Amino acid sequence: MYFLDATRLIVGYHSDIKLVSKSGLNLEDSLNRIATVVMRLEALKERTHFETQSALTGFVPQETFSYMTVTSNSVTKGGLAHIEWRKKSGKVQYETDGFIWDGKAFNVVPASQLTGEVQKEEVEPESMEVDKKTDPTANLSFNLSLTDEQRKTKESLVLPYMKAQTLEVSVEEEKKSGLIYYDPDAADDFDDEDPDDDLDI
Amino acid sequence: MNTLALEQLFNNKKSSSFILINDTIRFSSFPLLVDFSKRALADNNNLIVLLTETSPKSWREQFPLAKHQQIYIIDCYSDPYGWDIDTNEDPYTFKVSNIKEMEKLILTPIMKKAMNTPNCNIVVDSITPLAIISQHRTYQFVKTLSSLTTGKRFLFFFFFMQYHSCTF
Repeated sequence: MYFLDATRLIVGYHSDIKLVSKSGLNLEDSLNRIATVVMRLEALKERTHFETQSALTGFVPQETFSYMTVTSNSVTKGGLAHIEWRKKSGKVQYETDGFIWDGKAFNVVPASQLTGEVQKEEVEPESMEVDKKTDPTANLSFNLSLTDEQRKTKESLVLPYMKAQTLEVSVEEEKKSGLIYYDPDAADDFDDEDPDDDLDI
Repeated sequence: MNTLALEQLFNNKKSSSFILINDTIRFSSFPLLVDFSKRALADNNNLIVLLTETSPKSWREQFPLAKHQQIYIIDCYSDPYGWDIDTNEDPYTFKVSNIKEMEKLILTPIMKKAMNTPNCNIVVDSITPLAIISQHRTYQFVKTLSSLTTGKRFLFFFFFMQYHSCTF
């Protein structure tokens, strides 16, 4: 008897065949649960001349439905393998890899190499620098810039109601209480007497 | 450079005891199963192959002649219900005459072979024909096979002895 730890099991399952279950339990889900690696195969998307046409004219025709395409089961064109790998450490690795037949064996390549999808690099807004050489206000017929005197006048200008707002803010900071400033209108029946004055608390 | 996950699985450099390949009619898992098997044979591993949708002849044609003795086939494709007279004389092929008795006629030969074969890879081309017979029994079947890979021999022995005790 040999040690069985060197044994590996590889099982193929047709996930598009849906079996009826009286108990409601799905066999595919049950098998996925006990597997160490779950791999789902996908054919490459068929590239048609419609893409070029839409790029040139902006018109995208509706494709006729076809379950099988030119790229179905075409190992020479390649396919995609969506992998869910449950490691012994408890971590789960999700990865999509491409594979293509070179005549002798499968070559594993990044999925983007087969799909042609380029992952957009995220540009941090903090790293964006304004190009000083291309100043948009440089070649205008009118002047948008401010002189020093104009800038000082602008900064010293007090806007209306700003004084009242800053005064309210300073008063609130001193009191540090939740006061409500209420100005009753003529239609309001404002009674100065406390309605709860008769309560003996 | 980090090796891609699929490449690691092909080369069996990291632990991947039970690989389940969900395929569809749009892309069959058969080419990948063959590639897994080829690489296993190249590493001097043995193969125990359960075939339900592939003929033993077409399976063996995928591999070089020198490696055929490392491949042991459980044939559930040729005559799954025993309609023909058994004329199999190939020592490396076990022909199943009644696919419905999957525990007795399929699981038991695999177990016996796996216990006497070092560094073996058990490959099943498609578990779906067994699932059509009984989903519950197929699940137990696969679970028992996976127990071979994890060293849970107690589970295997319990199931093995329980089944055989019922047959007496």
